[in-house]
Amino acid sequence: MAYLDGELPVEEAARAAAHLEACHQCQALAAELKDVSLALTAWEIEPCNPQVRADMATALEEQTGVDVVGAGGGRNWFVALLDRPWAPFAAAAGVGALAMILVLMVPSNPSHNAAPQMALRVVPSEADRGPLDLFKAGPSAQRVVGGVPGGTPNSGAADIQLPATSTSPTARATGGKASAAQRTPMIARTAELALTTDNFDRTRAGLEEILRRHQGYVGDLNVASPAVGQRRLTATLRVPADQLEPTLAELKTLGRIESESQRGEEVTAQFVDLEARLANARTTEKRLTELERQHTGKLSEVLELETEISRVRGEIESMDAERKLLTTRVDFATITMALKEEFKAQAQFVPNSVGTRFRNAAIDGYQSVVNGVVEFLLFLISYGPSILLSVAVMFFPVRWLWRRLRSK
Amino acid sequence: MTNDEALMLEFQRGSRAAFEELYSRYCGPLYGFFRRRLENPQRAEDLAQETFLALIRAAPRYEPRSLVRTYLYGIGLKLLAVEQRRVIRDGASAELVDEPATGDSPETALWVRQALMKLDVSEREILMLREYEQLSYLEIAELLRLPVNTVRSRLFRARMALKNCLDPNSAILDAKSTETDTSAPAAAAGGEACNA
Repeated sequence: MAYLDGELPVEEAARAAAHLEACHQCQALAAELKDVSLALTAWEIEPCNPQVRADMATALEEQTGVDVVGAGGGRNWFVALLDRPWAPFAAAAGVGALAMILVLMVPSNPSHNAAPQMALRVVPSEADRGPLDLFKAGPSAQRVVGGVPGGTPNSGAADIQLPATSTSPTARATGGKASAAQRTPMIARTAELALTTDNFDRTRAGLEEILRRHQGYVGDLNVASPAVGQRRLTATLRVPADQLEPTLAELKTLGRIESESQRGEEVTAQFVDLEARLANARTTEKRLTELERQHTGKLSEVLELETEISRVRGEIESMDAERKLLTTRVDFATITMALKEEFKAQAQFVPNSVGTRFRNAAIDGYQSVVNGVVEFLLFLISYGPSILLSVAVMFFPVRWLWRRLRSK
Repeated sequence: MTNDEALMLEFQRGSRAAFEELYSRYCGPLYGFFRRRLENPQRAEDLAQETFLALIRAAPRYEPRSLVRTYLYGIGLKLLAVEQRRVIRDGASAELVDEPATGDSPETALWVRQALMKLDVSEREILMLREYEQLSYLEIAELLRLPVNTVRSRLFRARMALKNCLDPNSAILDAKSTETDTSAPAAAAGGEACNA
């Protein structure tokens, strides 16, 4: 069934397809299941009512400022809460508690209490009309802008301004650049994929072909090929960010998926911050260079200026390198791939041919003769002098003893 | 084409165009999702809107860890559960009722719906998510918090049960293939005992 749904990896799908061609029972079942899916398509739904969009605008206005905890809340749970018998008591207790909190908070600055809880505010506007009826429903057309109650629409390009991610003070200082860079999010994407294949060589060739097709490259590759056991490959692949998904889709067809994960790290704020710091450092460098050119004081002061300029230049180079690295991380997604070969046990031992065995025996015999002679010579060289000396020392006493015994 | 996750991040940063694109992509599918599960088309529309409202409110906290599609249907399932509890509490029927169906063969559609209603609830949900929302096994598993293998086996059981429901007179399958009129009540009566 997973085969019919296209949920099998290519290898298993090929096996399933081959089986399906041969098995009449499975063919019949597959046909029936396809018919079931086909029958389900008979239940069609009428298209979405365009009026819905205007309703949503109204609902947006109604619910603005209500902080919904969780994604599934909304009006339903609120209405359900009001229907409870204890709702009036709970409401009274809540109002009492709120009043106490307000009394306690009076001395503080009210403006500080206007926490940015309100993410969206809907204000009437005739100017900004998008393709949806939701935002251009005639006289009640609405525009969503960020801010707190009483605020005015921002003049920026974006109309819906949700709370932005925090940026550093330096980033905020260069507001124009930061906002320009913030329009498009920068996401460093990484993916991890573990596959098992029954044809390691073909899979590796396929991997290189896929990389070539998607203008990717291998960042790091290690292959372990033990004499007995599975071959394994681990690689870090870099592909253009927009090619990540097609590349992953093709890589998945190379074998059976053991595990897969994807992650996206947003680095926009980091990038904007870095650019701002870089701009500041360049300005500082320019000022110091200007100061050095105009300075006519002591040599020690000039040297101090030189040291400071060198330090700032070092910082600029470091930040520049970091910026390039960040850009590369965003432009090129990283795929960490682990590939292992299916373990295939050797069922039978295949003996060598007779000729090979004779040749091996002859070589073994020759090597053992040579080794024997060499060992003997080494023994003589090592122990010969000692033996000769012993014989020389023992010769005369032994001969004297021998003769004396014979004379008796 | 920009993917949903990038659109969502752009929306998070304030792009209305990104939200409009997401809305145009998922308004119809979400409406279909609710419409097939609720008898009241107006409530289906409302809940589709509330799903987008929840998305708007959750946007500041959004992190691209899962697919936006899964995220939206996750919200949809929660809203649907709340709605079904409300319907039960109010005493109305949560079941699908006979009503004019659209499409070329309304009788067939009616019979398909009746057959679906005879399936086990969890199996029906998996089958509908797969067939109508076109979610992958992994996405369904993530949404319903089930192991993928459970999704696979339940989906198979649901399809087999539905096949048995639709089989007795082969009316549905024949009707779909030949586009001829079928006798829905008679066929439905034939499938009464399915999934028992």
